[in-house]
Amino acid sequence: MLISYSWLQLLTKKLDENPYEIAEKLSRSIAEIENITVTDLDTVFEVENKALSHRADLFGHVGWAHEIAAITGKSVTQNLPKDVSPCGTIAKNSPLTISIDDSDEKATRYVGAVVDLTNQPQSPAWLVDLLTALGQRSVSYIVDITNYVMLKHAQPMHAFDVAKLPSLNISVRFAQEGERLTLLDNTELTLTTSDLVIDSGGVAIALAGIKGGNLAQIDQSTNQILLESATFDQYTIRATSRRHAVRSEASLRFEKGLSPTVALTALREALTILTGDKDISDSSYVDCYPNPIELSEPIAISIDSVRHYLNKSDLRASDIVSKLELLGFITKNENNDILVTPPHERNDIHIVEDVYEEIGRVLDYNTITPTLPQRDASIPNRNDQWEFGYAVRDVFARTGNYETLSYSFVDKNAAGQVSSISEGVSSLEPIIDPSLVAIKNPAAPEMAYMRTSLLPSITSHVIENAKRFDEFGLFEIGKVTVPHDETLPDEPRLLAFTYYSKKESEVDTLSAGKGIWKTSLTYLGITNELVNLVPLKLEIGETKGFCFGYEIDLDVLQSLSIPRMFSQIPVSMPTINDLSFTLPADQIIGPVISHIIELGSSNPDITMNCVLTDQFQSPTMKKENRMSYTVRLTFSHLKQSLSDTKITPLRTSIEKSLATQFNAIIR
Amino acid sequence: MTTPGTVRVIGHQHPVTQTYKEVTDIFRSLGFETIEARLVNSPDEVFTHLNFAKDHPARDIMDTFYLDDGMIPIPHTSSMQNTILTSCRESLETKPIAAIIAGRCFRNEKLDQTHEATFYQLEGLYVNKHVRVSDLIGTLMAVGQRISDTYALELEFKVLTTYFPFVEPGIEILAKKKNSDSWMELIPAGMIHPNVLTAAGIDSKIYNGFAWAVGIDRLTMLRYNITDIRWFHSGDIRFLQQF
Repeated sequence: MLISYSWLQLLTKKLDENPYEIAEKLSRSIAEIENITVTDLDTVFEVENKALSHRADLFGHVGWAHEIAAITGKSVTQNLPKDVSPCGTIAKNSPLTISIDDSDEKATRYVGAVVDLTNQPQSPAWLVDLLTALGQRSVSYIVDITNYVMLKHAQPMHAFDVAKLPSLNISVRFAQEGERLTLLDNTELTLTTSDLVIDSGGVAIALAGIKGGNLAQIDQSTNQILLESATFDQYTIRATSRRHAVRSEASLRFEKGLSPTVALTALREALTILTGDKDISDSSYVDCYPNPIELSEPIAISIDSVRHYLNKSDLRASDIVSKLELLGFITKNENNDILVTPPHERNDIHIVEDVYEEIGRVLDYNTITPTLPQRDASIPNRNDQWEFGYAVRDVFARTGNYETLSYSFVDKNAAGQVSSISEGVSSLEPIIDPSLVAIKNPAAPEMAYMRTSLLPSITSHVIENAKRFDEFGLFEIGKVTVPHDETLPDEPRLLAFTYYSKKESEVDTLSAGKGIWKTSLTYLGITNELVNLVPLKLEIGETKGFCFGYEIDLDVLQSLSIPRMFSQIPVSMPTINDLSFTLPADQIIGPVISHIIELGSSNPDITMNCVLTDQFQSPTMKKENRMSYTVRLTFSHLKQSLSDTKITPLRTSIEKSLATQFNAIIR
Repeated sequence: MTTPGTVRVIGHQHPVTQTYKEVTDIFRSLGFETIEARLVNSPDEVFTHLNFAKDHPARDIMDTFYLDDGMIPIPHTSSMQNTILTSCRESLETKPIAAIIAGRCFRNEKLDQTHEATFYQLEGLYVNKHVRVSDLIGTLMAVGQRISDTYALELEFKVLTTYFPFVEPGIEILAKKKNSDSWMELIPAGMIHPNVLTAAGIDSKIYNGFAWAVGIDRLTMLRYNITDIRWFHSGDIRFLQQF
């Protein structure tokens, strides 16, 4: 919405403040003035339309004049343009009839008048300038005047060429299914029974409240016009406008919910301008208004409540009354209450809180002395899930990785992919039907699905970073969407961790990634086999290097995480023993090491640690199809030094067990 | 001896999650419990229970994405208000509701330096008896001041009027750094609309309250002088390693 300051000056008595001051006050009292454009002729304020969704009246300058009145204390004046050219007279004995054939009351009022044109003058310069400043185009004098009235009262109007109308029996009705209508801009529409049209002798001549048809378009030879000023249901107009993707200055205003009282005000003003007659008689127009609206019941507000609510103990009843009256409200004092009746145009005011807001905002919230709520200082519950997420972030950052945030939306290829862990190995499979997570109105094709795994999106970050870095770990914590029958989707919180390197060997990359994973999980107090999880090799296309990824449900991690406690530290130096053996080449090493650790924990007094230090295959072994491994066993005792005699039985039992269980040959 | 030392790589948490942690800690110390928002919620939770009439143009404010089945990737963390109000209403007699809601939100906006379709809110919710507009302004000013002190930003604040269907009145706190001319929209807020309380089964004649949302990504930009919001989802290590 664009607002002309010079016009506001005509509508407000002696408004001589600096426009910047007024703009700041309006920002504080209604909605932020986003832009101020100053030209030689005018200063124009801009407010976002959606900031005014609740205020249909502010799509006209009179609405703004009331706002300025309330913040400056200066009253609104009724102003008619001086420099206009009367160009017609009200048609005498016009056969115009108007009916609303709509049992649902989607059209509440239709006021029409027929005007005989004596000529069609040029629009005066001030009008062209004003329209231009407000982002409109000057079309013709008649159209410019209807737009002028709309920009003043927020009421859209339309002018039809009577000579081109099939009949002056005008009605508002719903379209027939499949009925065709060609609009002013030659767009052809096929209508539905939910679309309201204006009918002339059985023919649709306009899409009600949105755009006129091209059938009765006025032109330079037009000598008689039908002026329309009507009120339509905001939801019906909005639905039709969306259904046919036709938007206009008219639909913008009707969608917000205009009051039917403005329809007559607007029509009378247009007739005054066009005929030069200040006194428009009731017989000049046909007013179809089957159920006139009444003013709403007054809202009683107590002065004490207002004082308490706004923390303004010195606020006087007269201050409240004067502000509300400048806004156009009717007030009446009754004991300690004020009875407040909003004007017809303010259909956003229903409850006492609405009135509090009117008072608070025009007084300027910045003048309110701040307080803090009166309450006990009870300690809030701790959100363990939230805190655990931060414990995980902390660990993965400590182990040298970068936390990233990738989008919740993915492309078709990644849609429905779900990671899982089976027998200690990670995998990622297309499991969920992508249509269950599809976005109806995606911002872009690559953002058309809710993600079901973090790995595809974090992988795209790996690929980008691989252009600049040789080695890095990325992690992300986020929710994914897992559709569910008939209810809202499940939203597990997942941790994804990826490790990338340009190392020559895939095994070295894998090993480094596993190391970070294990170190991090161990620090979180996780001791089960998850620490040795085999990650998924991630597909990174043409990118050089290797990348492995893990994904796990944070709740699972949390359930396995044991709070950290101090463990006793052995008094003496540990005893180190290397153990070398060969295994059949197809024997995987992970279970073998787990087995050794299990055996090593059989003596409660002795703690044993086992780390793989070497693996190789000599040509002879290759022939025999065997691999050699060396592990370093570190033994320690909490209270005493360990002698070989204590360790040897343990070591021997490990050797024997390896031979029988895994066909190992000790070297 | 004068050879420069070898640099060691350290890990980093994302600046947005760091800000979340710091700000939620501030609120926790003021008595607000942290709750995480759902990513996807129903039109009832996102709009209807929040006093958005069906098909009302106010629903356009949110530029909402929709899933094929009509569910909504949330356009605001207010989508959790009804759930929280409903679950806490029984104990309201003895315990005011004081919660903050952290959540990733989505709006179908065109991406540019200052607009992202994916953004981060921290919603606050407070309900008790006899709550006043001055409590709302006072709480937000106190929080704003704590944030300003925590990040040594020397912020100044002002209050504007704004409109959201779920508050009445609706306000917005703007902030600017001392010696700067540009005000930044920091905290949209308001007194909870009585219809929102009624929808959650709370008697709005007895109880009222206020709600607000801090833009965590906006605040992070303000804090670190980040000039382009698009860095946040870039995953670029050159960005991430600065925090």
